[in-house]
Amino acid sequence: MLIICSLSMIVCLGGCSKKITYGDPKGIETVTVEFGSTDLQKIVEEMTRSFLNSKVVTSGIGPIVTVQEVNNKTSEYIDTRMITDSIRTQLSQSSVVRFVVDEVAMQEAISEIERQQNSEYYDQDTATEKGRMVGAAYRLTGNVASIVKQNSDTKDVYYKINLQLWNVQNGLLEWSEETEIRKSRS
Amino acid sequence: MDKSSSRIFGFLKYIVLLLSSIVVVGCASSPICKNELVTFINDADVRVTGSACRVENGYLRVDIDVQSKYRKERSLAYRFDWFDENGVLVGREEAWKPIYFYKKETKTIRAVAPVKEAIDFRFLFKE
Repeated sequence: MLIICSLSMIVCLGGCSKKITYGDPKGIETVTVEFGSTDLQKIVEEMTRSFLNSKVVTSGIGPIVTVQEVNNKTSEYIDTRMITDSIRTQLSQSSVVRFVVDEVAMQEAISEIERQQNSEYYDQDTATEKGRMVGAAYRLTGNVASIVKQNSDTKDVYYKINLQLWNVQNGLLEWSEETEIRKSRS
Repeated sequence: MDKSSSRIFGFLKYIVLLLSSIVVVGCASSPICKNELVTFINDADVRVTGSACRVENGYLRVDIDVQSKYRKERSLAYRFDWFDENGVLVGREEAWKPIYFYKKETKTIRAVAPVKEAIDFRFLFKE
């Protein structure tokens, strides 16, 4: 009896195991209607290309930008930091936009300066000085909003993503771009 | 088949071959962009009906007219590969982007090269 039980368990475990495969990280993902990798990649690509063609970039001034929070106004959890991090990475690679430390990473930056300043283990000639950080001339911010409609058969989600670049000095809006995504499950 | 019929058949075959070669050349040269490579993956039933290119702020901008041949609404996907003057792939690999077509609809897909070095592109479309 014990042997039969053991054998049936082995058969079940063998038969029930799921196959693991690698997929295309750039492929279309339609597992659910919630915000996904395809949406993130589409937003980042459109926003980056639009930003690189904006007047503030093409004028050749080499804007110095700080990234602020993109507000998530949807009913679902979206890590908006992923959007801004990816945009910043792609823009940095263009070498025409430079970024300064943002609000979130500021405390870490201060801690590092203080560590170098206050530790006797550092050569004070090479230790980073206080008061040498570059201030941002522009701040990048935005919103992600959604409209969700649902009945017993269908769920429809509409996302609207808006990014803006504000001039810190004079408060002027220098660039703004919007992109839309519609997903349905039926 | 007698001799004269064979001659006529041979002549007709020549005409058909000539006409088909004109159609192929005509289709290949109809887009306005200079060197674009249009590649279809998974045989999406769409047709490129036109294209236009221009350089703006140093970046190559591309408009491609795509007509769906499906009898129903269909969600398809596209992306671009960008190349420099030496034919080397530039920029990051693009994500596949979804695009929705109503039946037999024609849409213009607009794209901007990710870097100024890009002077050529490959357009990929799939189901």
